[in-house]
Amino acid sequence: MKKRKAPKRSRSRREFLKMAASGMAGMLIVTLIPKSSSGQRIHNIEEMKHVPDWMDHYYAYVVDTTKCIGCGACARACKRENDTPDGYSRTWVERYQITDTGHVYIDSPDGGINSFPPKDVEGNVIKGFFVPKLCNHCRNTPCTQVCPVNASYESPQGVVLVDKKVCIGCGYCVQACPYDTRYIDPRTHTADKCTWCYHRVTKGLAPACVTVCPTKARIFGDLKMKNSQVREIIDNQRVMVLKPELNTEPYCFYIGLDRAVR
Amino acid sequence: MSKYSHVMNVFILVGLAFLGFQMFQALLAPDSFGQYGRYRGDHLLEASSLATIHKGDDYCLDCHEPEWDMADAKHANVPCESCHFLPKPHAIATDKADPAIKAKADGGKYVKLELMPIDKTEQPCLNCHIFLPSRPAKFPQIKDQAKHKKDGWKKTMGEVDTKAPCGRCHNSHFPKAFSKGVA
Repeated sequence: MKKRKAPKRSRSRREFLKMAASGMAGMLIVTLIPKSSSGQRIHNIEEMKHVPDWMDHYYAYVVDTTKCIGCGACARACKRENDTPDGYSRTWVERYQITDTGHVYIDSPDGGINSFPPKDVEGNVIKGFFVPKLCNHCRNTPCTQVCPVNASYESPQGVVLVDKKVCIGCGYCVQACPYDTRYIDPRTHTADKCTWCYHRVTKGLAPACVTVCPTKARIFGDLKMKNSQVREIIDNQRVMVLKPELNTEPYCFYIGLDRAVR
Repeated sequence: MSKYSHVMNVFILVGLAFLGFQMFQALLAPDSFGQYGRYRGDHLLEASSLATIHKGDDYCLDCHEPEWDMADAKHANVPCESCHFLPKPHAIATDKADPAIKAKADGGKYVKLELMPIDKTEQPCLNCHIFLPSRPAKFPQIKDQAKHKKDGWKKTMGEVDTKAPCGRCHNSHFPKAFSKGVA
């Protein structure tokens, strides 16, 4: 291609700008095509027919800390149900003991899986409670945003999942989660986390931890069902989320959360 | 050569790059990627098709409701699998009904495979009922195990055996009533 001479420069710049503008517009249209086609495929649910009404749910989880007795049945059930490796847990229970000296003692031996042995603290315990913890299944998820391979995502039912076939085990999501609910599974070297027992809830069962809780401190349900217990609680009771200042929009709500809880 | 040929070159280059990207994506991205969002759509199926381990109370009550009618008991709301857990299938549905099992669900045809393992030590009871200051104050707890056994044993037996498990006095399904008939 010949190099243009100086006098024609202003005209060629105009042409160039025109062509560049039309080219940009063309590229914009091109980039829109795959998005709209994937949007149409969202309604193709033929493959999920074995799961009845799998799309018509939007799950939420409520933890009533005033009822938790720290027996650890939830942590044991989770380990059995999800076969988590030794030393790792998808859910755990924290014990808080606030003494008259103003100290806050927080511990969770083995995640509370063998319940809690009595613990000596300095001073008298004036306030104490247990706080079960699990993945908060946020709507504004820090963990899925940092995944470089789209292995971690939010399902249409509001459950944050990890695709272990895609996960490369980089551990960004483990660092990004402000609730420390993720870990790298030492057997598969991929990220793992609470799924609200996705394999159970899609079959109409409650998560394993909810199934075994003896005091009904853990409640799971569908926000789209008008008479579900979680919706009744969230609508009528004063519920709180963990670390609301982070704007992660958790869908795991807490009743009776103390200011000492982190 | 037309005066737009240099622009056409750019278009051709961009078009080739776009086609190349599409080819790479078609080859490398999983088939179901983008089906429901920016992730592999088949994973939803895979994640939901895992086997469930815990069965829930309804599964147990299919056979055991007549035996454990606990409507008035303190432990009526405690799920079966809080204390009992079956690592292997406990019973399976078959064509033949076992007369020893009062199965009523699905035509009442179950065969028992494994006995339910039960931990008869104190540990399952103490998981919930040992005194911890973090537990709700109204929840029944044992502050002093030795004293509890000493006092309780005197009431029931008249002698002290601190090594006896909780089940010697308490029926874990009806914890308020004493199995020896002493209140």
